[in-house]
Amino acid sequence: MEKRAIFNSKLFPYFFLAPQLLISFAFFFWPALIAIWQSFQEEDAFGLNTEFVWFDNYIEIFKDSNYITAIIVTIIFSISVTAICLIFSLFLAGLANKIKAGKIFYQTLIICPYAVAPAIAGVLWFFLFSPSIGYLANILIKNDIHWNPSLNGNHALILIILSASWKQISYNFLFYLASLQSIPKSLLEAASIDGASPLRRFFDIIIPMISPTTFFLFIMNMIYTFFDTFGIIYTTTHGGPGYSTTNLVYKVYVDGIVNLNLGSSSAQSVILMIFVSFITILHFRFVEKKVHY
Amino acid sequence: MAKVLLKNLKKSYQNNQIIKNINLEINDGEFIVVLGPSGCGKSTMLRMIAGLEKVTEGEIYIGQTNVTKLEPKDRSIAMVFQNYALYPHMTVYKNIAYGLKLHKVPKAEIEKKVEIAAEMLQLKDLLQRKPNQLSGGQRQRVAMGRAIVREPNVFLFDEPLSNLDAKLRTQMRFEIKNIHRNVKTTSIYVTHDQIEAMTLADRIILLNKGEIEQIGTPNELYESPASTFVGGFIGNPPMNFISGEIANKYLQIDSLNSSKIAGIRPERIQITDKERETNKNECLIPFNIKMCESIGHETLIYGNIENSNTELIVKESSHSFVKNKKINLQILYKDLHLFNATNGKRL
Ligand SMILES: Nc1ncnc2c1ncn2[C@@H]1O[C@H](COP(=O)(O)OP(=O)(O)O)[C@@H](O)[C@H]1O
Ligand SMILES: [Mg+2]
Repeated sequence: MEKRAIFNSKLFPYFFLAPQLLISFAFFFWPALIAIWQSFQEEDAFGLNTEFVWFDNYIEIFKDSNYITAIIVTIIFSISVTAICLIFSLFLAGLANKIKAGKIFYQTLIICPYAVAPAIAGVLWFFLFSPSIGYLANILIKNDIHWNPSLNGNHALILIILSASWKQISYNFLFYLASLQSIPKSLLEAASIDGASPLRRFFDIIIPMISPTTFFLFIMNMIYTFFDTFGIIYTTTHGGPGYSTTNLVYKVYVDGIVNLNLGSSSAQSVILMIFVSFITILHFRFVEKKVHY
Repeated sequence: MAKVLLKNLKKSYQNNQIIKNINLEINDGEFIVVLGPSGCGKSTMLRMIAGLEKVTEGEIYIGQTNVTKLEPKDRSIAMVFQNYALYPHMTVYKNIAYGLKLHKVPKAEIEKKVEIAAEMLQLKDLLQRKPNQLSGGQRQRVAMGRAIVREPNVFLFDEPLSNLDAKLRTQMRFEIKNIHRNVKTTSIYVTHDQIEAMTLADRIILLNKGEIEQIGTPNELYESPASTFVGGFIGNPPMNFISGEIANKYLQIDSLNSSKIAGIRPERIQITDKERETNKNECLIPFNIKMCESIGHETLIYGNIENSNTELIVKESSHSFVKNKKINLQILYKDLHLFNATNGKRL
């Protein structure tokens, strides 16, 4: 029996799709098109004249040493946050999967940071690590570490890596916990009878079994660090000192809104758009191919 | 190859005693089936022997070694799980070889052993497949292969056939029996299926609420059940029970009274004519038929003893009686089992 409803009119489907298409167009495609259009133009400082300059903006970007710095910052930042999130949340999920008493309380506590807005998370960590008043900064300084994220670029980078990771661990934790819980207990028991130590079981059974989740989280964390961390950087370091915590997204903001160089800023956005499309395609390809256990 | 010895074995979850003082000696090479209703503690007992569950009290010996506190991997056991527990990301070959690899067996030797096992279990063409590309029966074989190649002292099976369809189950039962005949490894096999137990076991251990109800060969359990529970569990349909008073009235045995219960197997009851002379070895019971079920080669007759509410089941191989509602049952005294009415134990 045919269960789908069949509409004879050719227009009907478009009627149902219209709201979705309208929203996508107004808020995604239109701005994206404008960005692409602007990336080929150069505007003078007063916004009076615009000139079509082909790929000049793109060429300029890669001549800009600050842009290269931003790429390096982005790579360090993204890889660090992703690694910290994956490892630490897997560790926490492993513990949460083991304990019996207080399970709900513990899980809720770990999920809490996810409810905090990025900007607030940034402020929180800014205060914790602020050299004059911060609790954690005080501990570091007492231990003879000259902690000062507002002067030391490395310190600033560590600070935003920590705040960004702190917020994203909850998300990773949830997925890892679900993934761990879906591993049949008898698999691990079979392995332990086969002679596998807890460490071997972890590497031979658990890691492969959760690898689809790991890949998914890797992609999600990458996207998060690339695009969702603006608020954290804005409230903690403002991309500074110098350009030491300016990642690609923050640079789009700085060049476009602060320096009012719309052409360059748009060109940078387009590059990011291409990058995120690439990641998304990669993700879908992998998800399609992956065997589901 | 080893004996297995359970000494005063107990297991409690919180304050709930699941296994109550089990003492058992399993001989080298013996095939033991642990039989019992669902929830009676069979898996718990097996998992304690495997080392997957902590022992609350008592000791477990495998061979000469006290393994009570040893890790599963140090007990020289292999286990086949109900859901097979194959590693889904490994090929059949790797699944079978994993235990050997962990025990640092040389590669060439692993290959040889896996090949022999695959030959025995007809898995040769499937070695490069993943478990999700196998049928239920094939998965079952891989699980068996994984256990065999390790050459453990003891095989443990936890309801290994219950996920298979009836036909496959019969076939695998046969294969398990065959494999045991070949390798002669001491085996402990848990099931709730009495057919499996009767066909596979050298000795059956019938478990009830965490206690051993009876240990014996399949024939012993069938012919002389140690309690009403055993009589009611073994045999299909189960043994009929007649209270002492009713039995006294109809069976004309003077020693029968309300402190006793008489048991008779459905297949040992004969149907006879209404009026007949009886000899001293037999008695006749008037019987009302309520319902008949034909299952092809035999018929099950349900009904009650006249003027009582004692229900009986009779198993017959002919159809002739069906027309009559009131008939006589012939029971031979030698087929009667007598039990104590208070604790159900055999007299
Ligand atoms: N981890 C556990 N915690 C509490 N009770 C359990 C646990 N595992 C099993 N039980 C209880 O022990 C009893 C026996 O279980 P089990 O050995 O699995 O029975 P079966 O004979 O069906 O294999 C059941 O009543 C079950 O509820
Ligand atoms: Mg069980």
